[in-house]
Amino acid sequence: MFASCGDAGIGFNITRNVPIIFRVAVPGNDPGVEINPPAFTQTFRLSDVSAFKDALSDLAESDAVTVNSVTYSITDVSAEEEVELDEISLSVASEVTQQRSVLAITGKLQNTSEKPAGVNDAEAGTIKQILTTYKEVDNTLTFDFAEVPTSDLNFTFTLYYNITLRVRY
Amino acid sequence: MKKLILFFTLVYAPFLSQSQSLDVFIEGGVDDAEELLKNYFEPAFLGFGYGLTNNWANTAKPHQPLGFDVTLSLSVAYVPEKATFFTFNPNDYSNVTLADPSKDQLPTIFGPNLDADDIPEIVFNEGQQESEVTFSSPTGLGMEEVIGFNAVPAPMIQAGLGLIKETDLKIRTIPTYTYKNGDTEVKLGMLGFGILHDMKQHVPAFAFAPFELSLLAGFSRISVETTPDINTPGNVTRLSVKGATLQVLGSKDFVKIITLYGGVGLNGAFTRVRLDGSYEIESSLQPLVDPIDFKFSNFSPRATVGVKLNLAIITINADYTVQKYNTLSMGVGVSVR
Repeated sequence: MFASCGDAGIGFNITRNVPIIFRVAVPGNDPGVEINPPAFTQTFRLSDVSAFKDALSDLAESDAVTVNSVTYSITDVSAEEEVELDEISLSVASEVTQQRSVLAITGKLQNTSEKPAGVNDAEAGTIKQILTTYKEVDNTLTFDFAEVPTSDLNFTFTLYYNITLRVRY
Repeated sequence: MKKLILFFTLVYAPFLSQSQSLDVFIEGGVDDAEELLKNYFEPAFLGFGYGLTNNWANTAKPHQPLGFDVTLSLSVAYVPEKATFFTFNPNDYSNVTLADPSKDQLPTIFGPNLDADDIPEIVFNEGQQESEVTFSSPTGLGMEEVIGFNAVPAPMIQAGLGLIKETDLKIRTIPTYTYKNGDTEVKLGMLGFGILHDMKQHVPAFAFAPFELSLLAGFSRISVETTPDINTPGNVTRLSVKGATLQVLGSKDFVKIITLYGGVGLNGAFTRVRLDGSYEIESSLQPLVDPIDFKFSNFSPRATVGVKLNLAIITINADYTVQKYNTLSMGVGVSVR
């Protein structure tokens, strides 16, 4: 479709910081009720991003997807909801791959503006590999509270993938 | 004729297929898209337009009544070096910025062919988390790397017919032609009219001058419709380029087989670009409908010198025009009376 005279051909790099939003609702302490909510899973598809849609059919090469960074933010946490955490963990998987943990947050649950998730190169490589192969990745967020919430918890955990598609024709 | 049309279409295919990337430009909004498009395609617009203004005549002497000529010609408008890049001026845009403000030289369509990793990146809707998107600016096509120069060719067929009062009517046309390449469909057509009128009959002082002197006016329009994906037939790029010229033309015959000719005048190139159809973008929940429609015009004085060989009814000519995009023209044809 695209034509050029030179060797480099025609191509684009497209970069988006894609938010994946988890709305977390945890009921307050009821006797006999598990305090940790069930795991939340959201599937992120490259095709969910309109800027990426047209490029997907041309993403054949293994280096066509780059995960530049993984960040997260936590919002809508009130003062009463700032409970101690054992861990918030994130694992990624595709339909046919095992879950691999790539993120662990400990400390107190509190509002957090966007910050690096501390994903190392190998973990970013895992996400890239899944996205390159399957064009989608399942993100499973698990909450493990260290203390029993005394009231309902309702907050938003947002995971951001900063992804570059390298489209070459 | 079909081969000529096919050649014509193929020559322009690189420009036309670039229209597939037009939707990339509209991520930052319509106004910014138009500014980016103008800057990126300007050399092609001007090359098209100025190419169309050439080779209307290879003599200032009109035909006798019902005399005629048919000429196959090629004009090559050279793209100046300074038109291979354009400077990104942030004040011209409202939703587009540079990822690195120090890298503000972006390739035009006639720029070098660079890998996207080596081209400055532009950011649409910077700071808007939900819609910020970064693209590498489109690369140039790299024509100079292959043939040694950047140029826009304009082949055409033209007929001239002698009327009364020392006047020629000139017509150039290419019937609408459809070319398909994969899912891409291109429709192309051209039409132009010109008048060559002897001026010596109106200027007594020149009545017996040993040369010919005429006034030439010409207007051509080429239209190109590109459907990047025939599965979405409503999404069409429509390009209309017009070239107009007004010249005072002089010529003199030497030993009947050589004619030297030249002229001075003014050229105008007019372009209209439309992007019709429905386009989804990050920054808008609703798709944009018929988002792009802009016009572009440019004017330049011109001066031409040329030579024609008259071999019985066969004519061969070449001329060079100094204008904003200097142009070399060549032609071969038949001329009767």
